[in-house]
Formats: sequence, structure tokens, C-alpha cells
Amino acid sequence: MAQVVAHSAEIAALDSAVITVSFESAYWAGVWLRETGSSFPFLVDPERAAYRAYGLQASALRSWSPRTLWYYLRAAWDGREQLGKRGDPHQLGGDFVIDRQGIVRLAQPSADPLDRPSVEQILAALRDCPP
Amino acid sequence: MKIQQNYPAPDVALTTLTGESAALSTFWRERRATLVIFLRHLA
Repeated sequence: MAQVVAHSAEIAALDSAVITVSFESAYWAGVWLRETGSSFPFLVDPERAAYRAYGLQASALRSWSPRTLWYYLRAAWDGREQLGKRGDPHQLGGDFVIDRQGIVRLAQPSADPLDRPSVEQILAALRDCPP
Repeated sequence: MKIQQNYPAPDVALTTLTGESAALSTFWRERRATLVIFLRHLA
């Protein structure tokens, strides 16, 4: 998310937008927005209808893989701020680029919590969309 | 349901933080492209 925020001007220059979706309540979404400073439009999906429609699974096994545990250990060691445990930690996310006609141009459901496309992949997908 | 590239995106109605219903298509129709980021838990 931080890298997407850092490239928000470039994304806007491509006549593209970013929206964030969460299954958490509007209350926790507001808290998260204040804590992260994200200015992207935010939608809530407490029933996880969109998560299911986009094939995004919940998996304890994949959420707590050795790679993920190592990431959190390093974050704690580095003193990076943790926002605390909230909600269902097993629900995985994903990233999708959709063009004006509603066609998926990039589909990356996360295989684990750290599995996200690079900002370069995202920008490339945005550039590939017809004007 | 596996979402594949070059296929239609599911259009789902979600809720804004002000409680209004908003279909995903209302975002992608307005621009060349929309990046939809589905978050994990908010921590």
C-alpha cells in the first residue's frame, strides 16, 4: 500500500484510480485511514461478497507461513510500528486492475499475506489499459 | 471462483464509509483503469 501511495500521482496521470476494500467495519476502516493517512476511496464489505466474487480465500495455513512469520519478526526487531491485531487475520487480500470496460487486466489474489504485485507490475497493467 | 485476466470483472455493490451503496463498476467506468486493493485485516 505504501508504494502505491507513493506513486499516486503517476497513477492519476494514467487516468487511473485506486480504491481500497476491507471486510472490517466502517469504524475500524476510519481508524485505519487515520493511522495510515491513505486518501484513496474506501469501501467496506463485511459480508465478504466481493472477497468471494474475486476468489479471495481465508487460510490460516497460508496466513502464518514461515515467510510471513519471519516478516513480522523482522518488523518487530526493526521497531516498525504495528497497528495491532484486528479482525480476521486469516482473510487474504488481492489486487486487481480493471479497465473502463470492466475487463480484468491484472489479477493477483494473494497466495500469502506478503504476496502483492510490485508497483511496477501495477503501473504496467494500468498503462496497458485502453484509454 | 478464480478471476482471470481478460475476462469481465465481477461487479459487486459495496458500502462507502458514509453508508451509501456503491457498485465497483461506478469506479471503473469513470476512468481508464481502476486498481482495486482488497486488504487483509486492518492491522
